[in-house]
Amino acid sequence: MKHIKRNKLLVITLLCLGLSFVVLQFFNEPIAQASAKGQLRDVPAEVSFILERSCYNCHSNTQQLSFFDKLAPISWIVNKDIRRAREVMNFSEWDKLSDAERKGKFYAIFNMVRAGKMPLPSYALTHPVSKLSENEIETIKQFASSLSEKDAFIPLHTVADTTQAFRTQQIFTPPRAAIAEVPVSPNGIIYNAEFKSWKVIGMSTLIDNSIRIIYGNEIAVKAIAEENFHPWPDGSAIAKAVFKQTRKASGEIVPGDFLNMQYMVKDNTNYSGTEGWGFAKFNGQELKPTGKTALFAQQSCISCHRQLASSTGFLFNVPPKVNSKQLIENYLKTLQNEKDTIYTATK
Amino acid sequence: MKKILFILLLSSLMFASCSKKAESDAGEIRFMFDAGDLRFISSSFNPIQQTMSALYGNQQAVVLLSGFNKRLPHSSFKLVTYQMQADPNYFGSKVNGELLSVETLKTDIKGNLEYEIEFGKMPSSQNKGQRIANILDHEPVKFPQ
Repeated sequence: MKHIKRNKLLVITLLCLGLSFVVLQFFNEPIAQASAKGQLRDVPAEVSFILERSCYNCHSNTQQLSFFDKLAPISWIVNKDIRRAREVMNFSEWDKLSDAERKGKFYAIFNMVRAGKMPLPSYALTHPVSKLSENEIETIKQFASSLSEKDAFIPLHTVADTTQAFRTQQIFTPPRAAIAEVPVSPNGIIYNAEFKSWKVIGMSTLIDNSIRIIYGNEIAVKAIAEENFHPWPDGSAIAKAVFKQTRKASGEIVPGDFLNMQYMVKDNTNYSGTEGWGFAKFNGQELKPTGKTALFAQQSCISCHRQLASSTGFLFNVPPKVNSKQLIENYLKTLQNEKDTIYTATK
Repeated sequence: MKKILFILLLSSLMFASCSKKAESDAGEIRFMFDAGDLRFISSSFNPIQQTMSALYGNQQAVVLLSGFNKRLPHSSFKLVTYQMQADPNYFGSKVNGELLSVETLKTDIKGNLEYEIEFGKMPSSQNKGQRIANILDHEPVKFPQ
């Protein structure tokens, strides 16, 4: 008797599950498709072929989804991934990008595949054809490197014809309002000239022959010192000033013309879609903000930060752990002793 | 069987504690230079020596760099030099790594230059005079007005 009851219960459960599955399909909205483009402009056929095979199924307007990919609830996950993938890199719209954007995207592509972040390991598991061989990664690297060949020439540094007052003002006081209005990013982030008085947390160069200085506000500096950036506290802010490289007669490379200021501020409430970071970029002498809509960070910033800098709370350029604790402590102790001696002597 | 399990457990515990010890012995930390009252003036890198430097200074130091008054008293510079290393997170990027030296340059009340090594060593290929010239050859970075 008990046996019959159990069987009935099993049949009813299976029927309910089956019915729920059928009902789910009524809430299954297929993702929009468009025609595929041919070979990417200015991209060699062998590179284009690799991207088409490995990336297009998410990063283009044309997907070749399996029957199971189209079934809810799997389709919900697949469609969400595709929407996010199209936002950050859509090869169907490659021709709309500027030369600089294409170059930047290609460095990002190489970094993603080199780090094994793309294709997504979960996707590659069910779509083994998307996996890239070492040779294919090398092909992408060669092409990414070739894009910077045009930048190989670093111009000679010329001494600026500026007055003493101008130089002093640049570093020690905030600039006066020479720019009629303070630039504002489409997501509401205002250009903050105060960053010049923040602590320099690091310096970097990039393959595009730029030289960068990275500043952190007090909250960010404290978070780094205390290794407290998982997650970063709200209010942390980082500013990265980017300059062209110029070469001095001695062979040293120094900052030339100002290119842009990149800014990140932590605000979990307002920027929850980008891991709690608000992004802004202000370009050229006019500090023209990047982006047409507030969505620009989802489309061009967060992808690399999310995939490649997750170990440092989605922020690049956190100083690496390479300094001997003992050496640094000894150095700081010596400094403190010197200060104490001076203080005692002047007392 | 119990004995084998006990030995396995003990050896794994020993292995785990050894690895932890190795990590703490390495004692490597993140370092951000504290320039105190001095402000960042400029950065540079040497592609041959693979070093990266940051120059800090006070207001008088910036005036001194402009060349208007080469004997301005109370100017203070710090040149901080690091090893340059590849950014492990991003292909094509290089970042400042291990701290190599901190050099200071000051002018006294009469405007005489005083050079000192605060940390590390002076680059072997250069003498004191060349190091002073190197510091004074910097130009402040130019931000948009």
